Amino acid sequence: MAGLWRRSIRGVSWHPAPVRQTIAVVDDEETIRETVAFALRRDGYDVVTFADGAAAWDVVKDRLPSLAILDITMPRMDGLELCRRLRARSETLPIIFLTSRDEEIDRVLGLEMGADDYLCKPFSMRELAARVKVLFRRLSFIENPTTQQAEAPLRCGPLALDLQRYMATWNDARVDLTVTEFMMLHALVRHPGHVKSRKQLTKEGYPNDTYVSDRTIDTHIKRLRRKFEDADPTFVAIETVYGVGYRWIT
Amino acid sequence: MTPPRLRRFISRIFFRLMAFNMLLVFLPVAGILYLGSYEQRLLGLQRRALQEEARLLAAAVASAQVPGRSAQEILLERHRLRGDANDPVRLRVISPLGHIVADTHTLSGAPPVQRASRAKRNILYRAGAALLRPFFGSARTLERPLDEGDYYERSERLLGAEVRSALQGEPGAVERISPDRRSVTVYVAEPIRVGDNVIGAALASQSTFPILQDLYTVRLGILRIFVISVIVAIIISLLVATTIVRPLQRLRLEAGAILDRRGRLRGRFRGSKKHDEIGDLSRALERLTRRLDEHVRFIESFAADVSHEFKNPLASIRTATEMLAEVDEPEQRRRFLRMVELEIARMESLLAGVREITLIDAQLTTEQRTPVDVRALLERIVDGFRMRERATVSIVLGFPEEPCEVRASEDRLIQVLVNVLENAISFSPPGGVVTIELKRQASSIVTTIADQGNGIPEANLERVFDRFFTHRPDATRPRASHTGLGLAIVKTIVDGYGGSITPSNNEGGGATFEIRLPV
Repeated sequence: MAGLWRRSIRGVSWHPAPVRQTIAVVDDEETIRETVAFALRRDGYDVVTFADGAAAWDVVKDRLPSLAILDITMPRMDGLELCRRLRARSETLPIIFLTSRDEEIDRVLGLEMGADDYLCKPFSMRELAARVKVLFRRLSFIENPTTQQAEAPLRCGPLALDLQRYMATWNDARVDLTVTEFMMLHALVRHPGHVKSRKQLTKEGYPNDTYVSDRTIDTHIKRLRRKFEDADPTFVAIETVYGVGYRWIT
Repeated sequence: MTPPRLRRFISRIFFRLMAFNMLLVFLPVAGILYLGSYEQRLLGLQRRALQEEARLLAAAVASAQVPGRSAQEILLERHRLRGDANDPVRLRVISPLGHIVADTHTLSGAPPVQRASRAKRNILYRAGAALLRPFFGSARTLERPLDEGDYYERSERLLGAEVRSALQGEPGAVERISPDRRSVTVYVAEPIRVGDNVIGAALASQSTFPILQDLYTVRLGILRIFVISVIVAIIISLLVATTIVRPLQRLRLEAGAILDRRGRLRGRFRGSKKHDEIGDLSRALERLTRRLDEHVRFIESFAADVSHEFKNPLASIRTATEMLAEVDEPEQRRRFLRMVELEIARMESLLAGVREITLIDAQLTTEQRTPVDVRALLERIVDGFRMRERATVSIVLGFPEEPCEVRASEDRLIQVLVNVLENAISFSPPGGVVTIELKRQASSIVTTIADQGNGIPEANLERVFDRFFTHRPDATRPRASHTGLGLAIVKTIVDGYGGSITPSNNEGGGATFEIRLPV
């Protein structure tokens, strides 16, 4: 795998982690596969690419990657099945889905696949790289909770947001959020009582100007509420302001 | 009820049915009106009968020559002959001074007072009479006012107009209201002549009461029929309304429920098992909405499919251009540029395919169809393919002797055969054989195109014609070179020609497509 790694041409200063991280990119679109692999290698990761879920599973079942980027619609084995199998092997392996259908987002979220994040095609490569970085950071905090001292988290009532680890707790109980959900929640909590329009939430959740429909934002908010309601059935902190957007009430 | 609501009510089918049924029912009323004139004719007949009686009596009295005693005997004789105590005809012999010389009533006593029959006192009759009086009343009032018969009956001397006229030698007739004040009594007087002298008058009178009673009974019968008919008409109208209007109302409610407030199709007609016209209508509506629903779904899913298919090349272009902006190395730049070009070409071919597939439906209905020889067409197509694919795939033909003609557009048929053949070649292993066979059957031309590839997974047999569906796990060519529209276009055309195309897997491996086109 090391041979596939190329140094950044521009010499971007990035310090490789002590253990080289391997990212599996699984997509039946050759161009996307190659471009994503190229960009991630340039950022210092080892990348393995596969054209479908079955081909990927044959290899990764014996050697789990550090992170997986999966397309959903693929021949032979789709991304959802691959994700399920990977999850069975590892609880913490960060998984990012690439989706090209709005309905697919619902499926990914609805099935509780345990995806850590997802991006809608066409996505921005910068966005993907940023998400990968965030997920690795989160992973390192989860794996070594004692060695690194985090900054004081942002608190708002029973909610605490750890901005470094992208982790949320409600009454000190952890609530699993995707990176996108976390960023949207952060945007709402930063200004309690202020209404955030769907456009503003899009900017927060997808900072690298990816096009996302309002419906997708609504789906995210719905998911956020569900996750907090699972932790606390009396949760009502995210309020819908009809015709405008959403706000955090304390 | 406001006028528009009234108008709506009147235009209701139920109301119209009711109106027609009622019209039928009113026919018996015309019968009642006819009975009016019947009554007049009966009166005329009665008057003539009385005239006869009076004339006979006058002749009998005259021939006896002595009025008085003999007249009484004559009446007694007649009375005996009749032998009827309640003889409605009253005969009297009147002296020139108006005194009654003889009277049948003195022989048998006055007939019992005739009471109005039960028919006339019937509440139904009175109600009907009140309703119909406007029609009859006008006819009655035109007649001259009648004298009171009551006084006439009791007076000692009978010198009414008819008697005076008879005593002067002319027969006379008068109608008077009977003492019961309901019927009319007809009085007919005839002179009794002996030579040229009038020695008295013979007076015959009869109440119309019995005749009228009969009439009233008939009228009451008709009225009964009328009332029963009205009830039956209402029941029939209600029955018809429930069997016609109710199903129609149900259809209307269903139709209203199908569109939601934004005017979108939401449901469909449930159809009906009824065998009548309304059942036919509801089934036709059910088919119509189902077709509409399919079409709407088609358009919606097509838009979703198209947007989905465009997102992949767009994603590739976006990521590749992002890389282009960050990469300086010429070789890398060329590589990303080539990717962008490839994806743009793919989007162009996607666009062309989408345009094609949306146009086919419309064009299939308007295009010119001519007899096309499938055999000659296949030979031409295969020649072209052999030149192109000589190195990789060989094509074997099995054709009948005679030409195989179908009515079609040649261009469309070429599209069908080329797409299926290209599909077969693309799945063929290097050095594989594609077998094309053409058969002529009773009503169709059957073309089978078989390859030696891996075949189609059973689960995908149904889906190979879906738009954008591709399944090429081992494809040597990149995903980008297949739009997944080729077989979808084929299916649309073959269906448009009333034919069929069925995929199947060969026993020895590989897939076969069987195209049937009607002759």
